[in-house]
Amino acid sequence: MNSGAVDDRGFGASERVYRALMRAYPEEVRRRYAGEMVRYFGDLCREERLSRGAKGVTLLWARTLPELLFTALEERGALFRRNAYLPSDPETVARWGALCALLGGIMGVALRLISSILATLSILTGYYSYGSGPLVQLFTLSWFLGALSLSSLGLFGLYGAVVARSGRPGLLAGAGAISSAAAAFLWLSIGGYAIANQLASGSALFAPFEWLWNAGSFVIPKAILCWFLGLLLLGISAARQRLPARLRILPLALFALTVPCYLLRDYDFGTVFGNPVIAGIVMVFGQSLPFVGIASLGWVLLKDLDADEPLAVSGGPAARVAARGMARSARWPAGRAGVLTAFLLVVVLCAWAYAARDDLYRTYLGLQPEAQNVGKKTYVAGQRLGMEKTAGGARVTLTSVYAEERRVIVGYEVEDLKDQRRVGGHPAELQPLLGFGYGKPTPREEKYLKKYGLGTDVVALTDQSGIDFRMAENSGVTSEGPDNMVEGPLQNMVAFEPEEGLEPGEGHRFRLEIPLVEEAVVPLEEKRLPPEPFPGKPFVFGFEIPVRPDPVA
Amino acid sequence: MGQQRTGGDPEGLLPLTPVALNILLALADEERHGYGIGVEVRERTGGKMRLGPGTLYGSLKRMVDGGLVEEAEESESLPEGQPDGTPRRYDAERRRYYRLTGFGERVLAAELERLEGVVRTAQAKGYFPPQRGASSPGGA
Repeated sequence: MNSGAVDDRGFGASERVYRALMRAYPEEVRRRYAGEMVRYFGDLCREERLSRGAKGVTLLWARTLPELLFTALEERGALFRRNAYLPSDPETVARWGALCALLGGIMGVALRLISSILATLSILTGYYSYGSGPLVQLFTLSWFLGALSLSSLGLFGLYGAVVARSGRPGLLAGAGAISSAAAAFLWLSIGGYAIANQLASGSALFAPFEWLWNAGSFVIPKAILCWFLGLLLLGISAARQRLPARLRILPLALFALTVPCYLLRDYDFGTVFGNPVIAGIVMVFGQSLPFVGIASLGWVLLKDLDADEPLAVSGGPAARVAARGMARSARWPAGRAGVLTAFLLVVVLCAWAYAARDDLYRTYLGLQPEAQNVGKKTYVAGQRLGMEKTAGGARVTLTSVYAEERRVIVGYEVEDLKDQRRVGGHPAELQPLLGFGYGKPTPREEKYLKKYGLGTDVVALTDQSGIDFRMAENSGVTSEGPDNMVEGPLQNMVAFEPEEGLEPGEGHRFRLEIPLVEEAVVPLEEKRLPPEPFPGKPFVFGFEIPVRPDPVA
Repeated sequence: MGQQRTGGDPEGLLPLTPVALNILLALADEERHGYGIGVEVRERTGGKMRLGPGTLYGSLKRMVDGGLVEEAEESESLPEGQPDGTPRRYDAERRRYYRLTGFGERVLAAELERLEGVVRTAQAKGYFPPQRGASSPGGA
């Protein structure tokens, strides 16, 4: 009896394991046959145990596992071929696909128009808030590609047309949908990446976002690959269907257009955005929302709907009725899938917002009137100083300073007198080491400086009465030349805000300290290198200027 | 449940896969449950064909959906159906039995006829000994 009990336990364990492995099969198969299959396997176990002992059971498992794998794949493939993974009947897919195409087209055109208007305004007003550094280029690239990607919604309209015409997506269109869903997911990641970069571009130290930069550099090429692949597959699939010629040619033409657009990714589209928060929000939502739609469709498409009935090929009323019957019997209605997807996206967005809360707040502070308008008017109203210091192969010139009660705007130039300066094998340029603490680095900046041996100082301003200043976010303006490399002296204009208001009057004394670092100029697609210390002490300037009682702007 | 097919041209389903043919043959003489089918096929083929659960029930599912096989009235589990006849915890449970439909019988007959034609052709070409194993023409 004991032996029998042990045997039963052994069979029971095998059956339990096999029952767990049954998850590999579609639910339709499990619902109809799981009990019988498990019992059948238990019978085979018992039989093998009685005839050949443990060896027989082992051999049975060795035969069964690959059989389970291949038959499970076969069953899932059969479900896919008969369209049982579709969220709804072909007519509904086609209708929603058409809506997606319409919406995507309108949004794509609108975003491009906005982009063009902003770019034109930027050029006309000469208001370059961020320069054209690699961050802005990346931001512009992702924004541009995001807007262009909206056109892929049109391909989902074609996908709907393919399904409506043929009654099934087919392997090519299915693979295109999968690829597009993957691209949408990756683009969503890039949405967070780009907005963080946008915020970071107002920061002097990039340390908190370094990991993001590296992750984004890894994700971007994959997203673009998936995107192109999806477009191509959907295009070919549409071209193979008996659709009107325009619908057959359009997707392939669109794909052909995306290639030169991708090749032009390094083109400097200029500085476009004035308000980083609004630009970031527009970018993230503008870029992400259509892909939420694409991701939802791809996700629902792939979800194991396990329909009871194979979807009839469209064409006749009876087939449509049968298809609707299938849709009603689906275990996961499309609406529920959409709610779940929306919930997950909200969670992701909240996580992003939480992670970037400090930077968002500081960016908000940086947008206050005191920190803005670091432009022509303050330069014109400022004092021309022309103070110059040379050391360590660099010349720093304090060109102009403007002071009022709540801010001091400093303009200076950094000229590299040494040729062939290099960091990590890349050409390097001299950059001021800017920070956000009052007269000293913030704790996070301190960690960064310590990590890379950059000393203990950041650009700092103090006055005669010992009032410390901090750099206002998004107030730095840096000149750059082609290929991200500075040509001629690097011109820098920074707004400082005091801890407490200054007394207006003539002859206010200030002390400005400018430490420099050597920053490698690396291509966008390569990993960003940390800066190296400048072989010299910080440049210190003492000057006396009036503090204006009324702001000039 | 899948849509059952009760009519149509049996020739359209030919040739059958070896698994499908052997399952139909197992059900040709009596209705059986899954394990009964597996045992019958294995014994009849001298152990050369051992149907795993996925293969057996995947084929049964397709044959049920295709109208070749139907589920019989559920029967009590039979003692002789167990490998050793010992009582099991689910002896009291019911097993699902399967039997051929009329369409399934026609498909099986058509397939056997097709195979017979293949054998006759092979025999005519001298590649196949006539009435292998028979001692005399009348002993077949």
